[in-house]
Amino acid sequence: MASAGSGDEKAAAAAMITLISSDNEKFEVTEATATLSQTIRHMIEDGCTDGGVPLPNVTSKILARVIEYCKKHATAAAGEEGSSSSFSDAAFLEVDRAFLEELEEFDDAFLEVDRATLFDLILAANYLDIKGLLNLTCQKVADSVKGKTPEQIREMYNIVNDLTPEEEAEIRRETQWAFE
Amino acid sequence: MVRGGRRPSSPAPEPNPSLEVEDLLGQHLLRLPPRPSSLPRASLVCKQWRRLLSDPHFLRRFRGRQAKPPLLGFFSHDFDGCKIEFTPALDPPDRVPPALFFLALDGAKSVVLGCRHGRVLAVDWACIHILIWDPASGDRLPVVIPPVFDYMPHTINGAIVCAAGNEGHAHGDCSSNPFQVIMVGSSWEGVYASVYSSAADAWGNLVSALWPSPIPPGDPIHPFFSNDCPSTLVGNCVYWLLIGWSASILEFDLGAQSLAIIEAPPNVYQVHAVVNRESQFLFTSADGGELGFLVFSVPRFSAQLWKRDGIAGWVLGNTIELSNLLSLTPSVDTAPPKIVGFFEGDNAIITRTYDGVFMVYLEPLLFKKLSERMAHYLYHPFASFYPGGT
Repeated sequence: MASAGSGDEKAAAAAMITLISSDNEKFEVTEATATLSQTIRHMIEDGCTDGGVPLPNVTSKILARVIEYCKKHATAAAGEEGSSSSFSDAAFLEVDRAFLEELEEFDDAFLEVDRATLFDLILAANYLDIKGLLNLTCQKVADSVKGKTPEQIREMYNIVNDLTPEEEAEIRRETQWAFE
Repeated sequence: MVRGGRRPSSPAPEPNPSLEVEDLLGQHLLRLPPRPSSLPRASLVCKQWRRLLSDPHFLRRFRGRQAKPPLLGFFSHDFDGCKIEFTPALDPPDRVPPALFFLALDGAKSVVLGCRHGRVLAVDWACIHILIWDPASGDRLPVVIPPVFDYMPHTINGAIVCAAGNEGHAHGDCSSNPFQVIMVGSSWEGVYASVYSSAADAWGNLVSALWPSPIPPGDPIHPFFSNDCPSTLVGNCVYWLLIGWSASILEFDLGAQSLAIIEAPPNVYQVHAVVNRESQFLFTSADGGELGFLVFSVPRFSAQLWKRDGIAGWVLGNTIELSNLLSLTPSVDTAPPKIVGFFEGDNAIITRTYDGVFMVYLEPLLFKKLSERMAHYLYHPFASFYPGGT
């Protein structure tokens, strides 16, 4: 994104950060977007972002999705900060509600990905320390397990059952009712 | 193209590194719903899941994330007071079986006074002690009632609370926390209370309050504790209902450890209506924290809601026409409706009707059917995380 702003523009608003994916693709984002990641925030605070931020654990495909999420949620955060001006409370509640609904819709659509992408997003959210994204993606996995039997969970996530028959029997004995 | 041996509906096994890294696996499992069957089922997936799910640190975090524990069911004493029985509130696979939470008592004449924060409080009139029972761990602690209390049903009562307070602690995960039992008594002069602290294993000082106007000499009775209005925690105070010629409310402030007597809402109490079982009373929470008072009229099958206002005193709120709400047609052939409990956690009443037992949530007004039949006199809701875990 080219910044053709006048010199009067606040430096903070124009500050751009370059993120470099594992496959060497460069993404230019605003500082507000990038600092949703605590990892990047710390790097900015330490002054080590000149020449771009290499992210060797994140592919360009996943980084593009992560940036999409951060852009949307950075706008949301900015909206909240600005909400102390002169509108009436009622008007604000209305605006807030509409915006929250929009954000929820965005999150729902954002999660419409295949399982491999979901797991890549989780790893990236964890590495970049983006709390909202980690919460969103992990909740999706937890929801998928809801109400499933252990056999269904193993099949779904390709997990090998390494419990001994004795261990299995012990768990079933202690909480037999939970498997009815 | 679908390769041999693989069903089109189940894609190829994909690597799932985030389920293998223990830290991230914890992130997923922390977000499982707090239903009783969640953790046992997930424990049976593999060794790694089982290890993580039985880790006390993980369990503390899991429970700490929940706003409140789920309602597992209800405790009641049987007619003879020889056992405490559990009635599950959830459907399978979350239905904790009654046999798991069953307690046979040594003597007869025991009464469940209440359940709160994962523990059951019962009193044994024969042996003059109270019994504190943690159904999840099975731990039982009998405590002798101080001799200053009159050992008579109706003249003493009690309530149990977790001693950890509300800050930074989700009640329901209270097993390892100390608790307090507030024992209250009623006499000719007034009311008195003493608090048993499990941390000190001792009873505290006796605190008392006089009746606002002395009981006239010659009166055959002094106010006594109502049998069917359970003690209720609202905000930081526990409330009991005292009845007799009139109704008054005993308030114990857990913070200040002080007692007060409050008048019941005006003109709601008539002796003959209570004696004839035509009216019942309950404490509720109004507007999310104020003391509420519910007046249940059996013949009309309606519930009148009052709210205690710090300045104006009692203010009359809505009246809920329960037969309309629950779409019931009163019948002369069946037993009249009755309130059989109150669930503090959801501010909901439990009412037995001609057509089954319902839980009616007061704010907002909603209901659900619990069961076709629940035969006990009073049900004490039990909300807790399961398993207890250590």
